[in-house]
Amino acid sequence: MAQMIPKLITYIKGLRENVIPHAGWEMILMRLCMLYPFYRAIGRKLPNVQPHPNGLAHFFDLTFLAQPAVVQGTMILCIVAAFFYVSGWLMIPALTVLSVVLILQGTLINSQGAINHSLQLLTMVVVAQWLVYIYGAVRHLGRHQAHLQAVHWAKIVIAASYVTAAFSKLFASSEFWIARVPYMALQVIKSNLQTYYNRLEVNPSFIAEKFPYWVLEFPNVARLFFGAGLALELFAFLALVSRGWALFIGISMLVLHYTIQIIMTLEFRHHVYLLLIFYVNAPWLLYAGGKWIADRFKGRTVPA
Amino acid sequence: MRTLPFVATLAVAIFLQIVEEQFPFSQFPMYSGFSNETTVIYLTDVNETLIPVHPYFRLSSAKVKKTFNTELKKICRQKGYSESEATPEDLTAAGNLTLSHLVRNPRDARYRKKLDEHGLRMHRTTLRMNRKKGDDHGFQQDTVTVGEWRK
Repeated sequence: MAQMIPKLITYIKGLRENVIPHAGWEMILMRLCMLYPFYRAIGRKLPNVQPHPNGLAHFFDLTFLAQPAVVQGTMILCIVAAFFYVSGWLMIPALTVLSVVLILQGTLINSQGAINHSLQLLTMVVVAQWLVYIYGAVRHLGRHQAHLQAVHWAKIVIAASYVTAAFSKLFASSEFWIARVPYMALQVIKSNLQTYYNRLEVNPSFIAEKFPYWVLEFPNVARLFFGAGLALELFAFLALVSRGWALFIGISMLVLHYTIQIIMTLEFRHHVYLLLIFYVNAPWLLYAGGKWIADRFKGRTVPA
Repeated sequence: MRTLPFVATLAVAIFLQIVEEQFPFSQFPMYSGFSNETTVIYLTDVNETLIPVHPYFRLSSAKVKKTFNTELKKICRQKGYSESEATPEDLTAAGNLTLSHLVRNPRDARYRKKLDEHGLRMHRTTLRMNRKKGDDHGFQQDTVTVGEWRK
């Protein structure tokens, strides 16, 4: 045991960010999977007012985006852009369209007086990829190299969003976040009441009825549990080390989101999609799993 | 540079902290602070019958609360104080403004008719937690009406 600690310290000191050498087919599948979040994000019903401007809406009236003709035109443009995005060709024009549409629509949605955190990460990932391809064109990066960098920067932006969420928790109040975890009981009660007022349906689950009181009965267990979530956010950047680390952080984050969804009835669908695509890397996982099983069976063939 | 790993992630995270909430950038501040006090907004008609927010407006109660808070913050800022010092008049003004946004966009004509017939009222419940042992973990709540709309 004593010998393991120095080894562990050496391992931790040696952790570095690496651009993972994804295969071309893997990145095509990643981009193909991005169609679903694009569809969910861009197909939304848009409001036709902007009573509380946010971001670019401070300078421009974006309500024209809700006009039926504009909605239709935007959809056609985005379908064409998404086709090129998946194919890996004409990435700069394709990502220009997708970035501009996501930024403008997201800004309008967030200019209603209630900031919604569902679209920011997806938009930031798309904008980061757009900038990577522009940089790649300026620096004459090869197509494959540019795709690799685009995937890597998507991972960086995802990690940064979790690290900044951890910073928000650590720096938001003078008292240490973990110390105040028992007050989460009040937030759970609030979430349950809000869910009830949405449809006037009572939620009879353990989480709704017993969980707030459990948090108060066992505050240190609750601190340990939610403290682990905070640590996971703070160290999300470890997903940039290797495929294995990305898989570990990705699955842990999915568990975290699932827990939040159950306790707080708060969904982060686009975060989940992006984790599945870039960290868990579901297409590669299926391929690697299939190959591993095939290799096992290969050695067990009956000799002639 | 080589000895400082993950520098890009750190730089983006710090950038997001500085820019705050300007779409598409965000600090992702959800549940960054647990207060011993929170509020819930709910709607009734003028006869005090509860109204489910989602079927009527395709919105969540949480979103209505966010809009109310934004209106309240704006009103208080104009008067030169913070929303924690809001007067009952400020709360009512914010509630009435929020209701005026809501009634503009009911789900369909059926709900429009219901709203026109029965009106709309907004209530705010404040939940407090005083972590003393014994008295039901110190949970307390009080509700005030913060807005009304009639055709």
